[in-house]
Amino acid sequence: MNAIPVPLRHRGAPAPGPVPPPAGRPSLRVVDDRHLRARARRRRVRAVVAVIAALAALSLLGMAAFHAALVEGQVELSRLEGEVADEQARYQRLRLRVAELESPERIVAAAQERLGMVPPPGVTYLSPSGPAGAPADTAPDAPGGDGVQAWAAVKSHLADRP
Amino acid sequence: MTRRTGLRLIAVLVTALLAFGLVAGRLVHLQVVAPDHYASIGHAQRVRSIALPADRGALFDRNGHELALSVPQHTVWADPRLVTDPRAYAAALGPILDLDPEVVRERLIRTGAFVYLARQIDDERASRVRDLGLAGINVITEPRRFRPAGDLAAAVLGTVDLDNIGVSGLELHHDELLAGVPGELVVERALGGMTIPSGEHRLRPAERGADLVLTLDRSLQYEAERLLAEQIAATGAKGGMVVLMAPRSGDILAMASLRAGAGDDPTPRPTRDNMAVTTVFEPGSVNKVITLAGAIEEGLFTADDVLVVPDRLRVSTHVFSDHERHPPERWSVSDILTRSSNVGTIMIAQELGRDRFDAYLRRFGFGERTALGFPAESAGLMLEPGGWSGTSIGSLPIGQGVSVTALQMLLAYNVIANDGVYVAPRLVKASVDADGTHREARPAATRPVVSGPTAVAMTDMLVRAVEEGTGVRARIEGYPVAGKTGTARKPLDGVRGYKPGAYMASFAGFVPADDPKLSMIVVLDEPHPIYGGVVAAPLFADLARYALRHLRIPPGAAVVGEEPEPPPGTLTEPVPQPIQD
Repeated sequence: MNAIPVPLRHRGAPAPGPVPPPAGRPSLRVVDDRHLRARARRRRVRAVVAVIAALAALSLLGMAAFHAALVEGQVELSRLEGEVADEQARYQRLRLRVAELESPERIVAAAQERLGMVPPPGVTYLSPSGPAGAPADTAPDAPGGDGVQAWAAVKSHLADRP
Repeated sequence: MTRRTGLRLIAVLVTALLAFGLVAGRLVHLQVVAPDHYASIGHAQRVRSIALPADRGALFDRNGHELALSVPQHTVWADPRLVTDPRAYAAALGPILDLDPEVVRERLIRTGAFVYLARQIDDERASRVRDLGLAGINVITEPRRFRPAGDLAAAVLGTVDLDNIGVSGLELHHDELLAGVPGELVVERALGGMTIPSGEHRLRPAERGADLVLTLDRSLQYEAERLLAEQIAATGAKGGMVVLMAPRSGDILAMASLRAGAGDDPTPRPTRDNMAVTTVFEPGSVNKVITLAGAIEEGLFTADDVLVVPDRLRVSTHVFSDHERHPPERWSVSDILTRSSNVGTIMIAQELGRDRFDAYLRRFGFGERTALGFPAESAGLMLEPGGWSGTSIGSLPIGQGVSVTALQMLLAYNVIANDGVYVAPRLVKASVDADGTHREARPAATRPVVSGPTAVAMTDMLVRAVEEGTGVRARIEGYPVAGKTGTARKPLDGVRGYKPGAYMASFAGFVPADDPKLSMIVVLDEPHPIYGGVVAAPLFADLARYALRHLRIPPGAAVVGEEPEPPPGTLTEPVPQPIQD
């Protein structure tokens, strides 16, 4: 059996037998495997507890953060829903406004009061005397003749337009 | 430990035990005895069910122009429990809401948690109320119905109440379709009113009501109302009606009902009551068409058959007469209609007989409501044949003693325009669901009334009545017009007999006569002059001219020119004499 030096300070495990009084240096003793396994187990337990505690803390933090994000999202959603409702209401009001502006009563009133228009006293129907598409005797763009003169007369009113 | 100390400790122990016992008992009560009751109270405090009102569908004319639509407005309500100073609140809110501050104060001191202060106010006023920041004063949104064209077709479209429920007209008739289905939002709310994100949340969206595309044409409706108003004002009539239709489809293009103004403002106003389907009148000579159509259909006469027509005819106890005295004349059936002879028409009706004549009146649609099913629509007033008096065979054929709506009378003319087929009227062309699905309304129901040849013969006679007869003022250059005038006495209210000097003037017809695209009836209530040919026929022509242009219905091949003036010596409508049994 090999002798194993006994540590100066050994916490926890009881001495395997009666320890002689110190005389110069501490007596060596044999450490049982059970002590080592127990110590290792305690370390693992501590580690697991620490990890679980850390995970729990992280989970709580995560949940808090998730909840905060959820609340923030809900607030944003409420805001957007409000905006949608406002825009829909605005669309409906504009639609009403367009319909009001298009109403015959308003147009007739504007035509009569602002533009001085009046309802026609009667309607005269015209009937074409010849076949449609027949060339006119004096087309405006015909070279020479009345067409050119007519064009020139019109052109003078166009000023610098092409 | 002394005895005294021991007693104290026992007392403390007993007290503690009792306290814990109470807590435990309460806990058992909460958790075991009545858990559902308390859970429901808590649920009710957190969970809110919010009704989501459905948007009401819009009403469009046949060209897609809005005639009625709903727009969100603002409603101000108060929770009187939270109002700290009703008088100061009232002083601040009254001017904004256009309410007497005392009225506002009275509402603010009511018991309860909810009271309306003002409903459906505009954005600007709602914003001013919000800016006041008064505790217990809230603003919510709710839709309000608008008619962008004002009173145009008001009687046809109808109205809704403050809660957007139809109360008259098409708004009432199609309320179920227009209203949609309200939705519901269930959410959990925190104390501050904010939604709890992870709480209960259920949403049943509101289903928007369907839009209705009507057969009305906004421009034609406007012109019909404008011309009718002018004619009412020009003739001093009490009111009037115009119905313009597309006879083939049964589509009503315009339906106007106006009454003369009262008091300081004589301007005719649209009625709230759609008189063209709810009010009956004795039609007078426009009814002769049915008498003659029945006789021709039964093979008793043709348009060219000649009768010797005196100017007076005794029927039972009453003598009926033509408008003008004349010696016995050899007039054809066509002449009788052209001259609107009362005596000639009665002679023909006597050949037709009571039962057959009554059957034709009903086959032409009298005595029953039309397929429109319009709210408060009248079926007209008709006697059962068994209830006829001795003079009924004289009065009914010339349109007295029977009452019809303007629409019923026009539908009878549509039978002639449609080659003898009755086409039911309709006001709704299509509906558009919330998802945009376009659903065409069912085509109008039809039924044969008279044969095609009879209808053609009647059309020819009606054209002649306009070209040469009493309806000459209904002529339209370039377009053959078929029509008939009517001037009927008005019965007294509630008693037998007729109102002296009171007449209903009318004209009914269709154009172009050879391929009818438009039909129309014009009715004026107590106009001056009294004759349908003088006051109603010109309105028919004016509105028909506009409608023909508006609908781009081309004239025939004939070259047309200026509108002709009625020739001198134009026949005037005969006035039926009072009927005294």
